[in-house]
Amino acid sequence: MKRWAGIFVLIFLCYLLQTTLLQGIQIAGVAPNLLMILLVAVSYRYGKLSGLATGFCTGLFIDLVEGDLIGLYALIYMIIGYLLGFAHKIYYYDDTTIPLFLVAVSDFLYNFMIYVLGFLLRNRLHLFFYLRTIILPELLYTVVLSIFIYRLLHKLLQKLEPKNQEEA
Amino acid sequence: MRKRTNISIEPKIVLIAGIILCCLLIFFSFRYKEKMAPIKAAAGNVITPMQVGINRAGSWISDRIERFASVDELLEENNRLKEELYTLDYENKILLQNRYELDNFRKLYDLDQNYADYPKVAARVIANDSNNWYSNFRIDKGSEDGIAVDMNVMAGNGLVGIVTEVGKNWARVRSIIDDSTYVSGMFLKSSDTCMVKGNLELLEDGFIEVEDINRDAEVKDGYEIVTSYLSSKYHPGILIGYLSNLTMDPSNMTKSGCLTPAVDFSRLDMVLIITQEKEPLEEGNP
Repeated sequence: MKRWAGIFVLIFLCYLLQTTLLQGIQIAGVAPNLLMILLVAVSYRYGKLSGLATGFCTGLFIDLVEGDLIGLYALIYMIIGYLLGFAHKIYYYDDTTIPLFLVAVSDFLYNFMIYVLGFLLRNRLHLFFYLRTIILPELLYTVVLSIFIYRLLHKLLQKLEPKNQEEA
Repeated sequence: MRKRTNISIEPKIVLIAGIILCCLLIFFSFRYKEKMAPIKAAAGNVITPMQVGINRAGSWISDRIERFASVDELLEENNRLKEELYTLDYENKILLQNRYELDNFRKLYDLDQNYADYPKVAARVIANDSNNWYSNFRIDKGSEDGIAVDMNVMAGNGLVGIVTEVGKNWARVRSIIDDSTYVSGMFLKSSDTCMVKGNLELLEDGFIEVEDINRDAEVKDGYEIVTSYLSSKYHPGILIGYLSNLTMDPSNMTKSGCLTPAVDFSRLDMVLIITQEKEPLEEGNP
């Protein structure tokens, strides 16, 4: 229970930072995706079910605060959380390179889905343009940020675990 | 906690259930938009004070940093601005004289409501969207300050966008550069109408799209485009931007071009909201 309350608070904090502070440090017009780093940290550590639930909560939160339709971001984040859960099989608590790779893949997937659902369906066909100006810059920026943030989130998640499990 | 770990649910089934739930949510929020509004308003009411707080802290810090970094720059700018002030002062006097004349003409035309006279409320931009695709932002004034949906938002003397959602102490604004926005525009000089569309692709070069200009319209690059009388939501006569790259469409019936917005969207800090909504046509106002 403590873990879930903690994750919920983390989603909340990450969203707040993402919409304010991170928008202030945009490079080339894009801001990094902090929520995706959090989702990677949780799913990679706890597996599919947790990833799915965290993704759903994150997405629903975004939908409630800024979305036009409720459920769209919840769907996107939930699917990504579930897919990330597959990486739990190769989870190793000290590894910091696989999470970077996961962040890159999931951020790409996330933006690609937004492109397909929000832009391709409105006849915006120049995928390469969007790749160049939004998807890849955001991916790079998010990966760079996750080098610093992932360890921090990982430590925080570890703190949230009940003591007896940690020893086991 | 112990009990829950004993029940093992197949993640795949949870995923499918979740997808169905999301699809239902999307459908319902699309179909019953009004009923979802209170829930969204409540969520916004909770999050806004925190965003305001973080922003205040952030701008305090960046202010400090900038203060140290830019004393020389400021001195130089000060000199430049002083010179500018003299010239502007002179120009202002001429403009004032013109204004008296203009007022007289307006009275003759019975067009006394210029947008400069609308009641306005200033607000601070406190948060952007969490992704990089859309250009919506959140401001720190809401229904308590008299803001309602569909009110026009300006910055400086140009159009920024329109209010799409309102909470107690916040409102969400969709800007005209957002990829899904349409504004009905008009050329100030010739009164030819056009459609102004947000376009993410052109935005890289600082433009948005202008479409549906009549082929016979006597317009040139550099002409001012303002909001038109035809629009049901925007007050007429608010400056949107300046035309460029005018070309004939392949259909040979209409022309299209690019528009340089009058507002610098990359550093939007304060905006003005016109707290008077455009009257619906039924009331029969001129």
